Amino acid sequence: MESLSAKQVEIISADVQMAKITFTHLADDLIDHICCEVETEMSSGKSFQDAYEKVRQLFGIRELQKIQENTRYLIDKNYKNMKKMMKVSGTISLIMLGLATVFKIFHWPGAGPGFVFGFFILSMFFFPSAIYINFRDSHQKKNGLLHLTALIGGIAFMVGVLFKIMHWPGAGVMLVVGTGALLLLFMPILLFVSLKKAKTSKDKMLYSMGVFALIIFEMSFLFKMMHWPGSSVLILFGSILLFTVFLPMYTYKNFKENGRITGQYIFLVTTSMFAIIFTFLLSINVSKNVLENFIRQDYITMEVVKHLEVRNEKVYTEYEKMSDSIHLQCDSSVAVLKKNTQDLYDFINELKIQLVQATDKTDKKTAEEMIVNTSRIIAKDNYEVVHKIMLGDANNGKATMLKEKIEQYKTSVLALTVSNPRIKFLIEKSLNTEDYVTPEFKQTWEEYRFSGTVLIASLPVFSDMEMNVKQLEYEVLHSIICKSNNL
Amino acid sequence: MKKFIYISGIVAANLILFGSIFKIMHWPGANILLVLAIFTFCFLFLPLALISSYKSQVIKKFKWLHIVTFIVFFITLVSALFKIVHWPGAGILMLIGIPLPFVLFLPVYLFQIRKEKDYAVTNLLGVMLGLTFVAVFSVLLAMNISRNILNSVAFDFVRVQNAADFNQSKLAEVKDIDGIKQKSDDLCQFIEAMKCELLTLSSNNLCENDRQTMPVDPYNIFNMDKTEASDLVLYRKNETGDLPVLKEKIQEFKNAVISSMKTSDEVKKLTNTLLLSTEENLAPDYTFTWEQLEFPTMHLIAVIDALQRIQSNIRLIEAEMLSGQ
Repeated sequence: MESLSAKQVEIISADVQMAKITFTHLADDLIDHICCEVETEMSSGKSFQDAYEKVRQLFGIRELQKIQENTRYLIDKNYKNMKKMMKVSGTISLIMLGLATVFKIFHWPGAGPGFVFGFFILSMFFFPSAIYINFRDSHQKKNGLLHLTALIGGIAFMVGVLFKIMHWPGAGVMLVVGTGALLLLFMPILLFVSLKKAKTSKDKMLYSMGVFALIIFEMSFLFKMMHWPGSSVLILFGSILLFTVFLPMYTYKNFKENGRITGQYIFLVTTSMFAIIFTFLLSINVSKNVLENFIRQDYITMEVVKHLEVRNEKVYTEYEKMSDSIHLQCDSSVAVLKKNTQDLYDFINELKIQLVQATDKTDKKTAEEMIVNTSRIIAKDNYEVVHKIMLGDANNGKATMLKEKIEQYKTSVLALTVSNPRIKFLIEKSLNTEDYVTPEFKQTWEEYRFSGTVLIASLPVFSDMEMNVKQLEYEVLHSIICKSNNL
Repeated sequence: MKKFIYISGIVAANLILFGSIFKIMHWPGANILLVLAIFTFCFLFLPLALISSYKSQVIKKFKWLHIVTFIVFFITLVSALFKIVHWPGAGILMLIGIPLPFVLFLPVYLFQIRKEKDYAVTNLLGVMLGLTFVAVFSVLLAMNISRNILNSVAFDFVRVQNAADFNQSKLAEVKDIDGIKQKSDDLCQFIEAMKCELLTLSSNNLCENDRQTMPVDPYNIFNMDKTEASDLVLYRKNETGDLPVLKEKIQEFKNAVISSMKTSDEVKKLTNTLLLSTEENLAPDYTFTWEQLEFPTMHLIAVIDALQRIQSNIRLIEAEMLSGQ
């Protein structure tokens, strides 16, 4: 191997300095590298002049400056810090959000602060630093608009989600602004940028189709949130275009070019699976607000029950004041009615308390307060405990017991008012114990009421029974007293 | 082999897509498609692709990353499957499956690539932003509840309707006072017409001449999760919607009952609690309006349920007032 003289090395180092390589470490490395290259060329018989000329053509002043720029990026403190910040803040916030979600689903305390901190770190630290890194990495100052829309849209969307979870006002506006910015500004700009880079017209078509399908697919989410019509058409059209048409075409291209399974392809398929599951699950689920309906229903029914209790009590006191002959005739019937009604009522109320106690894992006193003010119940959407208690493993749960009790009550009360067809009709209708049967579908009385019913929706079922029992008590009591009055 | 892996990836994505579409449309076979999809992904695509990707490296590295990727996404997707098809044990799987990508996969991923100088930043960004997408959408999903809940609302509707019938059956025998019967009939007819308009708009043909003539089968209400019809009838029809008109009419009826000399104190109290009250408003920092309390969502069935409830309450008050004489 030839080796360069000190003079020759000096020529090279002067050239490197000419290229304004100011980084001393980098300059030394570069000189060293160029010298090696020149020596290799010289070993094949060329003179120093020829060999250096060839290497210079390879590197060139521009090329040298670019290397410096790249190296700068690598050792740029700002860039390095940003990258570190992105990793750390991303990990912390994502772990926080993941755990907070689990806490929320299982109604454990602490989900709220988890969401707030998680989203705060995610949108204020992680997301901007990720965008910054991508921006620096793309080397193209022209892409500023692309990154700006991604930054604004992404932050608005994430903050919107946070506001929605915490029920703070303004969530809807932010979600719409965020999704709108991402889908209608960021995506088209992204398409524009990638179209410029695409080499063949086939690639161009593929990119346009992918972005177009993705916009339609996720647009359904925006439509659903705004209650605009047509979200299901969008989701169908977009998803089929994206996953049945675009994905195979893209895969084919990838296969042709790469020939091996890349991490990127695994990433692509996994993300597709998640995107489908999330978007569709979101579209078949409904907002938890619908549970408010049951709270209202239960409150109203219980207010009616309170009123009926007072009213029935009044009739009982009036009855006390009636003549002895009536008492002689009716005392036994009235006593049976009063006792049986109270028993059934207490049984139903006890079931309510047991359910709430088991689901919310509270003591009896708290459960009693909760069934009066049902909005205080925490695990409103739990259906597993309701199923377990009411239906048991093989239809041996409390619902069957309840059905038997109701049937007993019906028989005993019917015996008191045999002659009155109107009351008989009312009893059969309001304390129905028949199974639900249609030509193509059959459900037992128990299943119809309690299978898959969430806790908060099961309470009005009981309250409704309580109300009916109180209504019937009044009707039956009246008929007993009137009957004996007429005699 | 590689072709097979590529194809299995596409097949898994499309199976889950069509499974989801079938599920939305209530077509039979949705669950089979979903199970097949997750099976293809977890037992074919994911292990084969990861092994192939590992082996195709010149220098074998990231061994743990490959193993962890498999475990994490296997558990996460299986837990999603259990949740979607309502199999027992979904709860405990979700408990593990939801945080796993962030608690296990992300740290292992960052740890394994920490010394790779030539590791593309785009890949790192892709993974991090992909996980952000997963996190944000899991959070959104945690806020929602399965659409099955609407069936419970439908059952509630049937119960309220029975209660209304009960109250009305008592009215045949009592005499009118102060024109209350006429007033309540008018009001109930107005509500009945709203209900019928909603039902008909959402292609449930149960009404004739603004009166419900066919009984409602809670399992067979069309479009009960749709919100467009309710939005139109309650808030947008004739510029203001029917809701302000309804509120005004209820107020008139309420005034008539309360101002009547023959109404007992108990019935007055009942009227005040049942009609236009916002009393159970227990949130300390936020006051709900009557509209928000009575119509918390715009799903067809919830709105019809609320309307039926108002109707039933009016009949109850009427029956209580008139039979008290």
